[in-house]
Amino acid sequence: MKRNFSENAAIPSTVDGYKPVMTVNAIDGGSDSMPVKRKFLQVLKFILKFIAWTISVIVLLGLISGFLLFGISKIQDRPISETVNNSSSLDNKATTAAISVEIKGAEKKISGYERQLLSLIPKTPYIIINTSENEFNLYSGSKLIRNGKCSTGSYTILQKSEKEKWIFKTPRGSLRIHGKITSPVWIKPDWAFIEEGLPVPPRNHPSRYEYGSLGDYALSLGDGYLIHGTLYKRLLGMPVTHGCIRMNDEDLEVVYKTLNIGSKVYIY
Amino acid sequence: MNKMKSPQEKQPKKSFIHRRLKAYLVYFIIVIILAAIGYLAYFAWLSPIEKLSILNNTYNPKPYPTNAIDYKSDTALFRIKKEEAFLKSNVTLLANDSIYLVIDLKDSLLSIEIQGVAMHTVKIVRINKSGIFDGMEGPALINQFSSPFQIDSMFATIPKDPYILKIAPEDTIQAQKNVSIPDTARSEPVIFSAYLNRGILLKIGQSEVDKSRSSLKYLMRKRYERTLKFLKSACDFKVPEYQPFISIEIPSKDARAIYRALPRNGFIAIRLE
Repeated sequence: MKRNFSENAAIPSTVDGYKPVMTVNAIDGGSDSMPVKRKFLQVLKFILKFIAWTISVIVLLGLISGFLLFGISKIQDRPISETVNNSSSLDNKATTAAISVEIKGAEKKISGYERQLLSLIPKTPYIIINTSENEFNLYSGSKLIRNGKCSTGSYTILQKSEKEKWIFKTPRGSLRIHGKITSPVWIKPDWAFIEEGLPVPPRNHPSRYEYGSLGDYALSLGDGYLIHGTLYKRLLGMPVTHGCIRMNDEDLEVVYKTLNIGSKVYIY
Repeated sequence: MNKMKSPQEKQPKKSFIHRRLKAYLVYFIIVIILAAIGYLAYFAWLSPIEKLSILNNTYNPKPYPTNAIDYKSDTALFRIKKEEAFLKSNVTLLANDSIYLVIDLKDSLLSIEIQGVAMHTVKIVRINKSGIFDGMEGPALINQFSSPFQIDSMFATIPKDPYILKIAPEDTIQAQKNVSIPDTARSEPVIFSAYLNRGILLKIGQSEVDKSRSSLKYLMRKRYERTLKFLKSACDFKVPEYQPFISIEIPSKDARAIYRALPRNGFIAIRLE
């Protein structure tokens, strides 16, 4: 085992005049601090080289992946200049005449399309319901009469068993008002009891009839879906219903009085 | 002592060869990398050009009339032809009862419509589109946009229908525990990509900065998929297929409403700038 002693002078001589072996070894190697320094430098060099290589590799990989992920798109998304110009084959006068014919033809078609599109906007009042934001806009022609918060389907899937499940979602698309009801009574379906953890009563059982919970008015959209009032006004603007559209009393009254049977209801 | 060389003296010779070899290896690697980048850059440059030629061939009238007018040669004609194409596409959509999307790049408007009635209209904050549309020949461009596009597939950072599964409670006590109010304060970043027929990618994203950075994962995944597809084609020595795109930014709540309202295979009418 070789040990380096730089403080060998401090080690006392033995009686017979010899210094300990370790000390001789240290003298033999000249100044003992040199290999330590060299080793230290070597280690430092190695560390620096390692860092330099690592940085180079990272930079190179970064450049490659950067090019692959972003450079390609940059090259591809440059504007491409026009390649063909066929008008050179025609003389100027003929071209101008042909262009004006094309323009006239196109203008005629455009006015036809515009008329067709305009004719589709309902002349009678209609309502638009946004199920994402839980908002409604009531229109008469192109004039906005009223807008406000409402509540729509919660997107809950109530599962009783593999076969029995219900999805509480407001249907999207173009619907119509099928009927108008004052002082509506909610005839609770089976899921209303299942959701509350109650036993399902037989049909026409008194417990199925709930009075006052739908507000003063209801407008039927078909398939059991209604626009009605609510007792839970603080939940307006949230998706909490079983598929129906809930409104506050004032909005519901305006909607009820404005819309007629057959009025359009657009839900998105 | 003199005959025996210390390891430090022997080292320079070995290290000299070693260093030369290392240098050659480094040069070789650099050359290979540069060649690969050059090869990929060439393909990246070539793919939209090839796509442009494919699009022109596909959508130009056949046979191409010799005295045909290039719509682009006259600004008024080109503008009116674009208008006609858009309205024609819009009128075609009236035939079906489903919700469709109308993108007006000219007036920077985006709306969800049904049977010609705009249910939700929003001002577009930012538009970015492929340069390929500017490079297309007039008649081809008009033809391509004169009928509605149909969505082939859609991907988004938010679920299309945010379903919540609720198991029916056993009793009223359990039912009381199940009652919950939706968290309306929670807002996820909204970005969605719709791959349309006729090879166009429509990207709609929120204009607000996503502070949560959660959309970055989605964007990087999409970019990675695109890069991988590109590399696969390049490895097969095939020109990678270029995907022309239209990228739109709108407020997040509008983007969410539009994404959820649009049917999975819905239709889109686009009005050119």
